[in-house]
Amino acid sequence: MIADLWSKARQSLLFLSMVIIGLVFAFPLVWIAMSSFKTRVQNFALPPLVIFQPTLENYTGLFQLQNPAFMADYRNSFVIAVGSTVISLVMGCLTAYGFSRHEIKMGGCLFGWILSLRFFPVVAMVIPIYVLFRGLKLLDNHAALIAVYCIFNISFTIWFLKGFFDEIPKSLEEAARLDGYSPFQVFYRVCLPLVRPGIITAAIFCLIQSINEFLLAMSLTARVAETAPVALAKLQTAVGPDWGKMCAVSSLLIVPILIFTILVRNQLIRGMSFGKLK
Amino acid sequence: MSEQAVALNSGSSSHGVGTASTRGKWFVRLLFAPTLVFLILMVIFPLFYSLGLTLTDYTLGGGSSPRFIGLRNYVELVRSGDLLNSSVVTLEFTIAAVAIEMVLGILIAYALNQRLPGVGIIRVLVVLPMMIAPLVVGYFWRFLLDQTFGLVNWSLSAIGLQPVAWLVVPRNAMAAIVLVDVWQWTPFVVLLTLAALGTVPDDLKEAATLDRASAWMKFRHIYWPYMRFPVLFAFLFRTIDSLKMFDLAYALTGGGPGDLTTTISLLAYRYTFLFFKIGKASAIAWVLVIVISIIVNILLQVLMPAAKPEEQVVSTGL
Amino acid sequence: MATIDLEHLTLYYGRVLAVDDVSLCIADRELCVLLGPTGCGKTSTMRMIAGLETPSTGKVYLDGEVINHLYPGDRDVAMVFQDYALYPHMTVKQHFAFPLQAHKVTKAELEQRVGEVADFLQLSDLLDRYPSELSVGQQQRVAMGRALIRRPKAFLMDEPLGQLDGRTRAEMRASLKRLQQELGTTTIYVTHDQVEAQSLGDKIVVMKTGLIQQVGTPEEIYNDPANLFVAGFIGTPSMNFLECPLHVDGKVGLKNHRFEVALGPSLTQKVKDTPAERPLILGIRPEHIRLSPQDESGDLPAEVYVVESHGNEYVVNLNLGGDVIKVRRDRKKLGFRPEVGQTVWVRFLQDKIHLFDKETGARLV
Repeated sequence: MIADLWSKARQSLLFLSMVIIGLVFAFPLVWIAMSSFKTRVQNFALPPLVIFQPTLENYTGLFQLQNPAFMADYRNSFVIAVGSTVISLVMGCLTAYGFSRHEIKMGGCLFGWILSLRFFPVVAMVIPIYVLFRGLKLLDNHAALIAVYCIFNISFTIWFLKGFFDEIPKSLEEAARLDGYSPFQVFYRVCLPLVRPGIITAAIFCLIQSINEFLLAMSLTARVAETAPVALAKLQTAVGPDWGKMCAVSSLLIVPILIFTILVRNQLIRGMSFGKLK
Repeated sequence: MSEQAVALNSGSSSHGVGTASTRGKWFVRLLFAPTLVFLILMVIFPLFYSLGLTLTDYTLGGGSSPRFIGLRNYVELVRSGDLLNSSVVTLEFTIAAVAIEMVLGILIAYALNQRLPGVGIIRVLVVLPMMIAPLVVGYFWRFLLDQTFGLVNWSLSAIGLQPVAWLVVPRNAMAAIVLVDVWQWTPFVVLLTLAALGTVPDDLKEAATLDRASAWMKFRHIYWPYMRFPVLFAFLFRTIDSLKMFDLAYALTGGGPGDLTTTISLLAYRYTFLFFKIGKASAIAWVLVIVISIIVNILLQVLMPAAKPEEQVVSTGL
Repeated sequence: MATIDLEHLTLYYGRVLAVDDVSLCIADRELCVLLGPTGCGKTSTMRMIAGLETPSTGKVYLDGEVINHLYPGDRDVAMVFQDYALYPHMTVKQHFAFPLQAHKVTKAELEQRVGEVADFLQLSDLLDRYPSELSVGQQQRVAMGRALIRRPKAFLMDEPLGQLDGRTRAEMRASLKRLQQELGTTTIYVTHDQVEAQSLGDKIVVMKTGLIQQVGTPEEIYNDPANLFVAGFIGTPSMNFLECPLHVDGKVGLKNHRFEVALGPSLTQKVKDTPAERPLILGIRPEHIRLSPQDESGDLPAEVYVVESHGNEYVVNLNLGGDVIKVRRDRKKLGFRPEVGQTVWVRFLQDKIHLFDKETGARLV
């Protein structure tokens, strides 16, 4: 009896702590979303308003915003993210397959080096690339930023997809070769379809990373190719503590990420613990 | 029969189908060449270029062309105390943030590793913070931590505690950054630990329960062997990410007050875009690169002595 | 015409020698079985024929032409893999169409051939299923179909029946044999199961640690094993081996400290060149031993150890002075029922005795 009670008490305690944990991590986001629907005045109210009359003025204001031109920037973010993701996936698939199936000299070192790009401080890349692009007049254009993002996206894609390619039994490829397909066709018709779930997950991760990136975007763009995070930073200085607008922008940046995250929630764990699946 | 066959065949291999080896070689080149060329162009070349820059006094818009000045940039940086200050700031931040994230993360993972109703939803919620742009996180926590109007201070006073001047008082600013980083990245540790805990076979747990093992014994002998690798992995990742942290500091404190939360990355940024001293900025950046490489390699050797070559971080082709 | 010739093939995996100077001729329309224990090089040899491994030295000929340099897909051979190698993302129909699509077959002909093969393998109802939705037996038939549809010059089969349960296996064996004879396609079949080898092969190649031990028909291999390994590998229950040196003492015989076997005139003739006291191993198959409950002259006494009853046969395990030998005999012909502990009298059929040199393993008689 006592054991039962004790176990029930324990269960309840755990449940409670679980709820608290969930709230701690989720609540700030909820608060931000709520605040984006409050007027400037409402945001300065004390005690903070939980019940209030929502307004869309922060969001509509964003559409009209010229400096920074938020909507244009928002669109840029997606364009650049998609562009970089597509290119990185194509190159990443090929190279991941190469690492998986072919032993090349210094292959281990090369793979390790590509992985290490993830650990690289972005600022160390920014400085020379800024100087070089400035000289080549490549600043503030979409293609340049896409190319730079590809560096990190390719590194990620290769690391992530190699594991997937490793899991395809070699006999499948041998069977296809015997049937008369060239190595490229074997890759394209047999291996690629089988890693499709991996490709989709990698794509979503790349999209998330690219949309969220700040330092490179800020340094390498000005007006034309400016992305949303940069707009957010500029907004901060432009409007001061107009928290309503800030929250609106933040919300617009959080929502797509949220959607993507929920789509890949199962693969998140798998992708992150890949390092241990040796 | 064999000799005749050989004689007949000495010239007859081309059915227009290509031999096994040539087809193979072209394809392998296709697999690696584009990526390698791209990476050499975009990574290796700029890196060595910037290494060269550290030895010049290049100043953007300075008019005169850069002069070679040897190691003077490094010397001046050491003398000026900027670099030292930033290094201390960065280390303080890293140690505090990583320690808290690891401990908290493991505890939370333990709590979430139950078959309770709603655990699935909670797990998704927990994952959200780390997927949001650090910049965005920085800005909205600035809102939340606002001295007068922020939710945090209001909650504190509502339960009777003193509100804190988060972002203007030096000690508090550091605490604020650590707090926000912990909020954003503890989920990372939780996720990895949770995955590890999920791999512990049920029969081991049951056997331990039957043997009346204490919680500590269970942890040490059953859970820890399965947790060891992912936990160390998380430790490694968080440490390195903290060392190179930029976005959060930029958004939350701007490096302030003064330069009391200016991490090394932030310092390099300032030197580039505020002072335009490219030579010095590159030097700062390279110091960071070298420090990270050393620490990563040490950590890998110490934590994972059986690591295969691909896990040893070979930095930047050096 | 599809003859396959292997000329001094060797294969090294790193520093390990997997295939050691294998030379072999396989005639057109023949079903040749490569038989041996795991690691003997049989699969490696077959993979070299397929082009999936490159020989370290040696040549592979198909119809008299060297094919070493040819890409696997250009060799016109089809392989059935041990794990079936089915594509998880393709339906059964797509599996059959896939090999044909590589060779630019017209749509009409493709449909027709796919239908043909599906009917033949009784898979017509399953054409839209994916491999994960099929039973093991069905998967195996798909693997076969994929090879069949190409009408290649030769089939290479790598333990294709290995994953099937006993009964299905026996059925498939018979079907396979019949199929190969009807199609007349040269086939190379790898297995470690000697029963399978004997029932399927026109020719059996016994291999061990990369070397060919013997090549012959099932009867030849069974009746005239070339060495100790082949003799012990073939036959269920396996051949009995008794160590005893040659002993000349008036009569020529084999004597060890436990028993003595006299050699009849023909055997005596065959061993006359062998020096006395030479260590030999006597081999005799279980069905070539005669038992009787009474002592008939020249018999050896043995104690019954275990009696196994198989259908209408007994397999009697006997303790012959410390060695255990097995005797297999039809129940009726035996005439009596051996009891455990009973002493029975054992006689070896003289013309079925094999003598092997203990050191080299080679067969003397």
